[in-house]
Amino acid sequence: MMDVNHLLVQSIVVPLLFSPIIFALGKALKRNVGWITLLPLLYSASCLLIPSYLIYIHGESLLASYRWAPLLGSDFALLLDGISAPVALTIVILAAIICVYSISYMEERALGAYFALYLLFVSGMLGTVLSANLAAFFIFFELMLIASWLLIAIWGGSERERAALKYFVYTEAGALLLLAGIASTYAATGTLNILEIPSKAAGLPTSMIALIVSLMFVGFLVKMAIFPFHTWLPDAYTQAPMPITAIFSAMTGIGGYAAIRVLYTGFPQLLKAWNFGITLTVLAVITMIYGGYMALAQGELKRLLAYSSMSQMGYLLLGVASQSIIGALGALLIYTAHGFAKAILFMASGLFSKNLGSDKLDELGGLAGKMQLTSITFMVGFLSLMGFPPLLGFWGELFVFAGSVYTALSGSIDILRFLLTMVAILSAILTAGYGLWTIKRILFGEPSERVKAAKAEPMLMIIPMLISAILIAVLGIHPSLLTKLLAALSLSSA
Amino acid sequence: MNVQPWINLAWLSWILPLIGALLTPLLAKVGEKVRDYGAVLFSFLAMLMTLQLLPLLWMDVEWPIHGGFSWVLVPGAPILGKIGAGMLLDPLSVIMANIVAVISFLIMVYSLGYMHGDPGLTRYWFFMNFFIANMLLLVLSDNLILMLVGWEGVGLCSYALIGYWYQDSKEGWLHYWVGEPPEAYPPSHCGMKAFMVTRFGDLLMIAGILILASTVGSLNFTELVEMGKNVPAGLQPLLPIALILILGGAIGKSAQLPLMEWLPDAMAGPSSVSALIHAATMVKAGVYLVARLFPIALAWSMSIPAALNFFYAVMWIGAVTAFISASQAAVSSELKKVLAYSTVSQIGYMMMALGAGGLTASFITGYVGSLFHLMNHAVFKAALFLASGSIIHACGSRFLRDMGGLRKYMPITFYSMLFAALALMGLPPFGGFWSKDLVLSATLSAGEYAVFLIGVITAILTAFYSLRMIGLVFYGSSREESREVHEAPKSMWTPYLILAALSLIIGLVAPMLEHGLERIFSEYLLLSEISKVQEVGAVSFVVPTASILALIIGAIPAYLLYVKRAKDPGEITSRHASLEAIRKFLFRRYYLNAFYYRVIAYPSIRLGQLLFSGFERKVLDRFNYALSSAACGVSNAVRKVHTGVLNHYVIGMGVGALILLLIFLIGGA
Repeated sequence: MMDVNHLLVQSIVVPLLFSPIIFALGKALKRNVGWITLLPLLYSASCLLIPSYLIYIHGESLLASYRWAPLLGSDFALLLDGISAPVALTIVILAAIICVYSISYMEERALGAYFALYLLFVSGMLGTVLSANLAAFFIFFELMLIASWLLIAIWGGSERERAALKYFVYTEAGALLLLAGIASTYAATGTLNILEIPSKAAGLPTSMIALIVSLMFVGFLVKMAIFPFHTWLPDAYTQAPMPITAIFSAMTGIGGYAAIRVLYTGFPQLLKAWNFGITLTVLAVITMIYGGYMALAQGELKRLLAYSSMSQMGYLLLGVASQSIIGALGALLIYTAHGFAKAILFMASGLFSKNLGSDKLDELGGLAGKMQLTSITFMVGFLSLMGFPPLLGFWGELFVFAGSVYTALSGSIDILRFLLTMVAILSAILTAGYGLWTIKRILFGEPSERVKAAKAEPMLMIIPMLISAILIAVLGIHPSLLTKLLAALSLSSA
Repeated sequence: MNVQPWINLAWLSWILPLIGALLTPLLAKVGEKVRDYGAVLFSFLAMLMTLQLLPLLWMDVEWPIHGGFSWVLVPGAPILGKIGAGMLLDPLSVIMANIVAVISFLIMVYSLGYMHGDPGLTRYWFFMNFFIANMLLLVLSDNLILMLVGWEGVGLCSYALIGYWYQDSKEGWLHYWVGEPPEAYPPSHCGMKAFMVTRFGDLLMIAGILILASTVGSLNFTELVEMGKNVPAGLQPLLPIALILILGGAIGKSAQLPLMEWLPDAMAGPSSVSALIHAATMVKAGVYLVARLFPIALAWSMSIPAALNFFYAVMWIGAVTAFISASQAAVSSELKKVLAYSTVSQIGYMMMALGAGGLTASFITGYVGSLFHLMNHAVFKAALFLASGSIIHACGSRFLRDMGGLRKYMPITFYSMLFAALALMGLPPFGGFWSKDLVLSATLSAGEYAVFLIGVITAILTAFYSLRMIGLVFYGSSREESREVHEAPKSMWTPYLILAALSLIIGLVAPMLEHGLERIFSEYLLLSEISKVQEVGAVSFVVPTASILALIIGAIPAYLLYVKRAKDPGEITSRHASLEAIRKFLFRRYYLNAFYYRVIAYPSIRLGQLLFSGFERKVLDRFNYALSSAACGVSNAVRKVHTGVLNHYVIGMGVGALILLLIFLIGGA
């Protein structure tokens, strides 16, 4: 059997090493440097696919440790298990898809630097997800932040600098609380390794654990743009260049992933803390509903999708808050489903602004007859978001809601949680509302002058969308590909 | 007996049309004829598969037959750890599947002529076959999750096909818009509305399903009865709640109160779609689901009496809906909308029968009555819709006022429609008479006299609006333009002639059919020992008398006003203000539709906008900027200290040292 131990570190380091090369090649290759960028991403993807397959077959997770920072008594450890595998795969596959889209979408301006930062951004995200060591996790978390901040500030829209600063300040404030939480963890348990925390934290009082985890969670909630920490999101999303916006869904979702990792792997004691769960549930439900109403009020597709992302992060958080394995699984499925679906929708939005010169809803209309492939994938994206079976989004929502209902009803009936869950389920009508209304306003009706004059759909932008749509459908028809990975999840949180 | 071949047939019956749907874009590349006939062929294959299941009803088999595989595996999960995908064959699913497949095939044939030359046909055939596949999946699934897949799938097809002419062009006003101002809607709006409303019902259903998953621990139809008995006492009150939430999905799909408003507007779709999806099959899914849950709720009600509320809810919702929509049908100005209201009303009958059935020991009357009515209605309503498609085609308008005197020009359509309308009115010996008889009997034997009365009044209204429709379309003087009207082509009239004839044939063999159904279901539901002899004597004479009387009471005014045209109804209402007020109230759909727009839809959007401009922008964002300008202010203030003058710094240091010294002194003391 081949040695898979070093694959994880390669998946992070290879894009990192390619970054300066891409930067150097940028001047000479111009737009085509994007194709070179695709190489390390595909390599990373294969590095992750092989061990993920082993998890799928044998249910064994992969842990690779390297000596690092002996003063802190901790190793640099990378962990691929049922929680991190689907997330990391989503990131790297999305990154590859959107890289192709970037080649055709981005304007000819310092593309070498753009793709170099893009790789840094991706390896930051991968590192955050794969790190089992909280210090390393934090470093990658910051790398991801800085790279994305620069991508917004340099290649963004007309108000990019203001939006980028707002994004940076908000996330950094959250990151500092996260750092405080990590430091307290080390102070309290003497370890930074997430896998060692449960045994070392076993004797600690719950109130102390709750405080530590809450500090970290504020950082995660800011990242996920949970109400009331969300105001950076609409600005950052609308000002970022479209490919970056498209991959942002994967980044905001990392907040949710990290929440699961810290709560389910690190501090499973808190899975029984009612206050903790119910607080998160309340925040989740507010975010779902508030984001939905905000989306309903928007007249510009990109901003509408941004608020929709906020709302979807509420679903993800509801899964985390359910304090059940089934809800956490749902959250992870939402992560993947939302990542791909939102990528489709943002890519379509980019296509509209590129081809038609606008993504304002009242300036579009009647596109269904004109851009058929775009229309079909656009609908698949929204249907998955709405939780339409058997697309992947359906399973996400189903398991998130199931986890919450189950926790509310296991043992005795927890009326508050039960009612909150019912509200959450019914509020999913908001997603259908803004989704179908957007579809109607963009695709149906008599074509406007702008639409009549539309050029043909560029294949290089359509193919990434199609691939995403196919993934959503295939994973939805055969969700066991993802859900079976959970075997590792249930072991690590037991 | 080896059951696998039967299970395979069940799988094939929905997979074949699914393949057909997926092949449509490819076949379209070969040629238009290939695509069109190919699509019809796949629906024929689906019918062939389900027909082969029919012999099961006469064979000595052990129901239910089911089999499948584990679909979604979640190792270690406390609930939903193993979601199966399996087919369930029992009398209910076999009968439903055959109704669906046979009528689908006939409507596909009709579509060949009706949709001929439409530019979007590839999309049309795709969604039609996709619909058939999902509908059969819905009917044949052995668990709630797999059923939900079909359930949502048919909803998507309904959405796509209602909004088939999505360009919403003004030229289509007479063809495929719906309603009159202020309630006139273009197709894409109607599709969206249908999806939204049914989706809301589906969310209720998902909530119910998840409660069942958490309490009972199974979502399999074959296990729910038994496993429901093991639910701990503390959680038992949740079971009726779950059932009623699931009923929410059925209400949405079957357009019952209060989620009925989407169906009348669904008439924006092609008539073939209205016939297939919005009359014969999809809207019956709710009835099917209630029938599917029927034995489960009945069994649970033995230990949890509150489960009976499920039946009360079904019965009352059905009864009130039946009456309300029948009254709306009586004043509608559009041909297809009369039929749509009528569909809602007739589904109300089916619900009423199921609900009443669950409340009596001899539940078989209600159960069989409901299913028998479902079958009859599927046949005659499909005939009516297909015929109305021909008429709208011929007259170039969806409004009844643009029709009239057509019986001379379209004799085949006339007789088909007349037969089907008579079946709808419940004239003996048409099929509708027998099933309505069972429906009403069920309410009587449940002792629900108020519901019985509503049923009879609805029957009066049904007779009225059916005959009104026939009169307005086929009698009276023909208009100038309609002199040009011709009979529809053969491929179109054949299907509805067959269906109309079928509605009579079913009626002729009805007593036999009824008996057969009662035998099959009482054996299957294992309660054959309950005799229904004692109540038959009393009921058998009351009900037919009442229903024939109702027919006459409703038919006479309609005959005088719309067939003989003895008086102008417009004149009558204009003379009596109160009558006109009632007409307007009915015409505006009891203002329920307006209520949904004004109280739910528009205010939601408005609320979003207000929250956005008033809270998100004014409060939250302003807080951000206040925070940042405060930070700026502080640093500006602090910056002033840095004057650059050495003396100031020295003084500062001195003061600082002094303060430190003081602290040490006080601390030391």
